[in-house]
Amino acid sequence: MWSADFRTISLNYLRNPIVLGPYPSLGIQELNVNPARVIAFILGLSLSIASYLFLKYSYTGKIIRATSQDRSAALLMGINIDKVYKLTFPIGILLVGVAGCLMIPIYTVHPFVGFEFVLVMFVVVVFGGMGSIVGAMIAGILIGIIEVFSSFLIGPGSKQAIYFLVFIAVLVIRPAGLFGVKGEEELERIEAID
Amino acid sequence: MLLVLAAVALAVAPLFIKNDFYLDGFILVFVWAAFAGSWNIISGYCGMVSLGHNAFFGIGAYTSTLLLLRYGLTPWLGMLVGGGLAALVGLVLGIVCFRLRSHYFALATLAFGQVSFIVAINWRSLTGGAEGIALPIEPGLYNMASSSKLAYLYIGLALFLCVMLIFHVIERSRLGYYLTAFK
Repeated sequence: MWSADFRTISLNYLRNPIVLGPYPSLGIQELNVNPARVIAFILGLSLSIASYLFLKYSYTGKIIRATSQDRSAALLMGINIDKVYKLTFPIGILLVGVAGCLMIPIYTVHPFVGFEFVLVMFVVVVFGGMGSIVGAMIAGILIGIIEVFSSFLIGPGSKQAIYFLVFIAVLVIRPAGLFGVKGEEELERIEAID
Repeated sequence: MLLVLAAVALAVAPLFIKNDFYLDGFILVFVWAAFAGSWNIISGYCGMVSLGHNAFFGIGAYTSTLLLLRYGLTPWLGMLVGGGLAALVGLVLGIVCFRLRSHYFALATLAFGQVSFIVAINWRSLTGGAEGIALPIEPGLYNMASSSKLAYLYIGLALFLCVMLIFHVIERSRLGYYLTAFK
């Protein structure tokens, strides 16, 4: 198993497409949806919503948000910054790990599969605004739609170029991203006095 | 003084290397050192980390090669044209991106580098796609081609020394003080 071959898994309930019947009134003949993608979408969306609720309403979430806004003020309020970092980084890695598992039937598994997503991840996070999860959700969906439509209209080789160009355009027009705090991109970040 | 001695040592040493493999490594070392030096001017002195420098490297390379293959312009001049074109593109990118903070600037230049990479792969008529441009040129001084690797090494060394000289001049001039004050 631990070799450089491209691997995937195929399960019985994932193999048959879900057929959304013909809707002649909308002009759609027959719509086949891959159940693996449906599961990935639903689980990904619910994880995003869960992490948003965790960050917004729980006490630990408030601690994490306070630390991200102003590190030295959080130190003065008695927050243990080291513990916050030790907690936040694994939470992020957990979410990415689950996302990787959900992608197994869609993308193949090989030692370099993560590299294909690094640039998209950067683009999605900055496109949505650096500090906001809602922004990242919406930006992810937007960039997916842009990528698929541009691959249909222009060709699959150049689809990445389109969303990079959209990204640069957004950075020029509204540098904080769609949901970011306006003006945050030009302020100097207040660093802790260590 | 020490720099002059180091330059002379670097110039004389490769004459004693007989193995072509090490010569190849040295050529690459000089070329990448010049590239890294050019990256250092914006990222080391100014603190604006630019992750898209590969675009400028490619623009310079493709410009001088295409000028040689299609119009017969010697690469000694073509490299200046390529450098000028890359500087122009860098100017446009800078006008657009320089007001962003360091993280956003890094990502914007990264996106620009990726866009140039994808354009270079997909624009087959201009750049030859992913397999590149073959160079059917004969060796000679006009073509900047040579049948032995030693000439390339001295070209690489000259490039590296030029970049170091530019560094030396900038660091002591007023521009250097302006750049260092950025950080």
